[in-house]
Amino acid sequence: MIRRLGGYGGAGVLLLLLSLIFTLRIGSVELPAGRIFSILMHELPGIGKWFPRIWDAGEAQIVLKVRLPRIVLAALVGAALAVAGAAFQGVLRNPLADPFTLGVSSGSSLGAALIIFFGLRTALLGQWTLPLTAFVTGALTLAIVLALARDRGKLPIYGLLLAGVVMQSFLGAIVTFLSALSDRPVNEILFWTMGSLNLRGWSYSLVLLPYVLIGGMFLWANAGAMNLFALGERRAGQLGLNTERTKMTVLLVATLVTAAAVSVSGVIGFVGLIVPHMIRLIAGPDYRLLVPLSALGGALFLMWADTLARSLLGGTEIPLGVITAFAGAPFFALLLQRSKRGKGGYGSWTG
Amino acid sequence: MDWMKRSRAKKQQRRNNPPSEASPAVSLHGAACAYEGKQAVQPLDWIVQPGEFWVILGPNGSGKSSLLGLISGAERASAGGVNIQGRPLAEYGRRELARELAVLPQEGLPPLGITVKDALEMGRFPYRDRFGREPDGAAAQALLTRIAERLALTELLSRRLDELSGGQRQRAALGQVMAQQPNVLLLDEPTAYLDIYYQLDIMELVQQWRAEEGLTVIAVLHDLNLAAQYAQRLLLLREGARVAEGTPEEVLTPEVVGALYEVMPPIRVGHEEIGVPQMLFRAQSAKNGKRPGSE
Repeated sequence: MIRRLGGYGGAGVLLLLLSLIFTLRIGSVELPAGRIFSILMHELPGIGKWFPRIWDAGEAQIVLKVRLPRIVLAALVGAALAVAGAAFQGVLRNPLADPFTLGVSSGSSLGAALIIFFGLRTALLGQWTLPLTAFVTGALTLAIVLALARDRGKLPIYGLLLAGVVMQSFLGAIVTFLSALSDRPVNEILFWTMGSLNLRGWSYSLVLLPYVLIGGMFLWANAGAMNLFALGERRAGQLGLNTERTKMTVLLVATLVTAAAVSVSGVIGFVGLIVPHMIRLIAGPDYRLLVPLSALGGALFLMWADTLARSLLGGTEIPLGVITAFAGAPFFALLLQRSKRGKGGYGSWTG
Repeated sequence: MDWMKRSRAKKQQRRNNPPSEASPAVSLHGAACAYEGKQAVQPLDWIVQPGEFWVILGPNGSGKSSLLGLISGAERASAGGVNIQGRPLAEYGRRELARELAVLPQEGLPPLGITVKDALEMGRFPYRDRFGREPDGAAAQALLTRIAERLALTELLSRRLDELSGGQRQRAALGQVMAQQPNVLLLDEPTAYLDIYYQLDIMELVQQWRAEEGLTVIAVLHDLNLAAQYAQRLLLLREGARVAEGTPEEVLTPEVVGALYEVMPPIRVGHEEIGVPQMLFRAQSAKNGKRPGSE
């Protein structure tokens, strides 16, 4: 297991670093890969002096202040959503589960929509008003869904799924209503709900980082338990797992990680759904591999998706959620096709 | 770090008072099980000594599974109490209980995309720490190798569960249960979906394991003849209450069995080789075909 993790993980990290160089190249100003590499290396403590300045200040500015923070944030948001998605699929034992299954995204959207609708974007807390509100309303939605699903001290899976669906459509209706009432030429609410990483500086990454790191480690530490869930909750309990407590804490942590990601980036669909499936096809159904590799895969996926979003139409940004859905939906169709043939880790995985 | 304290406390306790010969493997003291007002198991006193092989018999809805649930901790006793190795069930932590008592489920392992090796390792969960480490890795590896050899799973270790037959999956399930190294094994109709070859196969493997390690076995079975071959003692349940208890020889009489299942008293014959009683049933006459008491 450890050797396989080393192999896949090493390949993933290598891909991530290569992608970093290549996505940094892309933009309105073309920069050679070698120079980007030198600029990055120059910033590293210790070995920086080995890379003398051969670039002008403007180029370093573009790489370090404009492109890099956005790419890093994309990687963090991708990792957060994919890790949360893997965790959701693990404890809910449902291949269609994703980080938004329990209604977090619609809760955050409602918070964001209210802030935008009433023109409070910079009230009280400056640029943090919207992310904080989105996080709080996302977490509140989770609390309501858990309360709805709770049945005699237990959290039955069908109850969770149904309560999540109900909350999503209810809150989604309010967001659509607010967005319809909005009379501005650019519908900001609609754009927020489709996700974007435009104009997010380093501070956003710094806010998200602890959620991804701590939440990710917690979920990884529960990967062995997620493996047991695949045998069914009853059997998992017989093997000594406290299934109710595990389900509760894993869903809670995964949802908070999701809420943190959504609050800085808006709603970016499909990452949390398809990345874990993709990893499952490559590395198999063992969650001890699936959780960390999903983080890497999600980071890679969103780095490239966001690069396409900002570069495909030249000056016009495409909403990130549109790109991920465009890439994600055909892939999902492919997965479905494969599972029908009964091969691959997916079809045999639902149990 | 709760688990560390608990496992240390357990070791301490074992050193201080090793399980005495006197304490039964499982004992019920007026234990009852009720859901939503319906009494599934009437208050029951029952003692199972270490190393015994018990089979619970009874018609559908007689409370057999609820009784197993009471012992495995899946059901909470609505009255009375259950002791495992002389200690109240409620005092056990979940992992601790999984090291003491294992359940072989009816349906074996589900057809997942995981390998047989992974499935066997899952049985070690109650011994592993939060990061999946064994207290003694080499010993655990040796145990898993031994189990695989014993169950003829060595060749299948890298195969996925969804590539196995139902009988092979039930063997893998038994392997997982063996990896738990329990003192008490509960079997919940383990042969329900198996052909005769695998029915006997699973029962023989359990019997061998019991003989070698002094395992206590409590099984729910539907097949009276299988029960008569393997059980030392039988517990007959009807409507949640004990009807009879004793050796197959004592209990399996045409009258008792006929009344238990509400059928014509069967013909009892001795098994030609092993001498245990076997029951031959005949259909009810068409006029009398309705099960008494069923509307």
